[in-house]
Amino acid sequence: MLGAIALGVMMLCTTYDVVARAAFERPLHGVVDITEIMVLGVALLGLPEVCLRDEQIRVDILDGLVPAGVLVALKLIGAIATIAFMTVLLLNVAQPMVDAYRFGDIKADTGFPVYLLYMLIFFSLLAAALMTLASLVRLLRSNTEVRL
Amino acid sequence: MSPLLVGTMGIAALVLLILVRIPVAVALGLVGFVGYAAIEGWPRAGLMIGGVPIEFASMYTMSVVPLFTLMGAVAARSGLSADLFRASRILFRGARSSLSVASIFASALFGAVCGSSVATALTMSKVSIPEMMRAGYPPQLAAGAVAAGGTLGILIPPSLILMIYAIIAQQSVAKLFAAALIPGLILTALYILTAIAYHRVLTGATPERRADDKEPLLPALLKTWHVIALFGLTLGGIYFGWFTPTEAAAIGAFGAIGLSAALNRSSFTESVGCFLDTVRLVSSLVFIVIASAIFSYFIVQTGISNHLADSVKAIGLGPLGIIIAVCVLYIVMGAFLEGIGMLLITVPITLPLVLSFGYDPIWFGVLLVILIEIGLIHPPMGMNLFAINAVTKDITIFDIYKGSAPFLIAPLVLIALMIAYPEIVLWLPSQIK
Repeated sequence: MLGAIALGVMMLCTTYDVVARAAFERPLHGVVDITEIMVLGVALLGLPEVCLRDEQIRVDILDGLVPAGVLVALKLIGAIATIAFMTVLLLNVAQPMVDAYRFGDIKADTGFPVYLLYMLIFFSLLAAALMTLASLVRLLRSNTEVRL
Repeated sequence: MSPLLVGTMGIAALVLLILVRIPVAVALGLVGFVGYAAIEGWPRAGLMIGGVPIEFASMYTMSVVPLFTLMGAVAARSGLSADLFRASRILFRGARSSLSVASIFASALFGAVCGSSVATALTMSKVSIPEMMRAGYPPQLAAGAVAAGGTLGILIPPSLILMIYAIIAQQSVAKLFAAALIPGLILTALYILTAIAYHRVLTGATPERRADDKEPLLPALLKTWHVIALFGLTLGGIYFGWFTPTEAAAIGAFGAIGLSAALNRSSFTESVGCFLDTVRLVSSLVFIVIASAIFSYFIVQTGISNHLADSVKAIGLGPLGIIIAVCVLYIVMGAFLEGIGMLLITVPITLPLVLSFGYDPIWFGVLLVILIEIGLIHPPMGMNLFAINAVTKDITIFDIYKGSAPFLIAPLVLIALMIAYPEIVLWLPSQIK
C-alpha cells in the first residue's frame, strides 16, 4: 500500500508540475527529486509482497519434467538462493548508508537526506528476505504435512 | 584465472541457475557479484553491489515504467478494449475475415495505451474470441489473430520492453518510442494480411456468416475518442517536445484514471487495485534490472563482448551474418525464456557485439522487441498463447499453437524489411524535436 501511495504522489506531483508550468509558469520546486524518491519507493516497497507471493520472474520449463520431490527441492534451493542474494545486498548497502549519514549527503533540490533512501532500500530488502524465509518455511511445512 | 575464462564460466553458471528455477534476478545478481569478485576482489565487488540499488532504482528515467504501466492497467480494467473492438468491427465489416481483422486492429489501438503484450492479448481475447466463435470462425484463426494482435502491445509505444531496454542500454525513451511506431504499423498491416489469407485457407470460398450490424461508423469511431485522446496527448506530447517521457507517462496515467472515473468505468476499489498491481509488477521488474546491472558490470570486466566481436570478425561473419545469427539466437531462446528476462540477460553481451558492426542501438532495440514478440507467440513457451488458453477454455492449446504459426511469418518479413531499409526505424526518431 505504501508503494501505491508513492506511485500516486509521483503521478500527481509530475502532473501538477506540467500544468502549473504551462498555465502559471510556476513549476513545482524539486519535482525531479520527488520523482526519484517516489520511484525508489514504488520499486522497493512492493518487493516484500512479491517475495511472499513468490511472483519473481523465473524459467519453469523443468516443472512438468521432473518428479514432485525434485521440484520441491528446486523450489527450496531457489528460496535459499534468494535469501543469500538479499543478504549480500543488505550487507553491502549498509556501508554506503552509514557513509551518507556521516557525510550529510542530501538531494540537490529538496535537501532530502540520502541516508533515508538507503534506509528505505535496507529495510525493504530485509523485509523481502524475511518474506522469502516465510515462504520457505511454508513450503517446508506443507511438504511435511503431505508426507504425514 | 583469466577474466575471459571467468566470464565464460559465469555465463555457463547463469544458464544453469536459470534452468534449475532460480529466479532470474537472483541468478543474475549472484553470478554478477561472485564473478566480479573473482576478477576484482571481494572489497571492490562489495562497493559495486552496494551502489547499484540506489543508482538504478531511483533513476529519474525509471519513473516512466510505473507510470505507463499504471496507464495500461487502468485502460485494461476500464473496458477500453471492448469499445475499440466494437468500432474496429464496424470499420472492417465489409472485409473478408472481418472479425479477426477487427481484433488485430483493435489490439494495435489498445497497444497505444497499454505497453504489455500479455495484457493486450488477455483483454482482447475476452471481447473478441467469443464473438468470432459465435460467427463460426475456425478456433485456430480466432486464437492466432488475438495472440498475434497482442504482441503489438509491446511494439506500438508506450512499450514496457522498450522502456526497460532504454534504461539498460542508456538510450532515449522518446527516440525508442518514435522508432517503434512505423514498424508497429507495418506489422499491424502484415498481421491483417495474414489473417485474411489464413481465413481463405481454412474456410475456402465459404461466405462469412455476418451479424446484421447496421450501427453507423462515425458514432462508433467517436466512442473511441478517449483512447485517441490519451495516445495523442502522451505520444504526441513526447514527439512534439511538449513533455519529457516521464511527464507524458504521468499525464497519461492521470488522464486514464480521470477518464475511467468520468465514464463510470471503474470503482474506487478497482482503481486502487490497479495501483497495487502496478507496484508489484514494477517491484519485480526493478529488482531484475538491479540484478542485470550487477551482471553487466561483471560482463564489462571480463571483456567477453570485445572478444566475441573479434572472434566473429575473424571468422569472416559480416554485419548481415551477425544480425542473422543474433536473430536465430533470440528466436531459439524465446522458445524457453520469458521476454524481459531474456532481454536483461543478453543485452550486456549482444548490444556491444552488434554496435561493433556499426548497427544503431535504437534500431537494435526495436529489432529486439520484434524478436521477443516472436517468442510470445511461438511454442512451447509463448506467453500470449498461455494467456489465451487461460481465458478461453473451449479452444485447446494445440489449436492455439496451430493458429499462431502462420502469424510468425509477419514479424520475420518485418525484420527483413528493417534490415534492407533501416530508415523504417530510424527516420521518425531523427525528426524528434
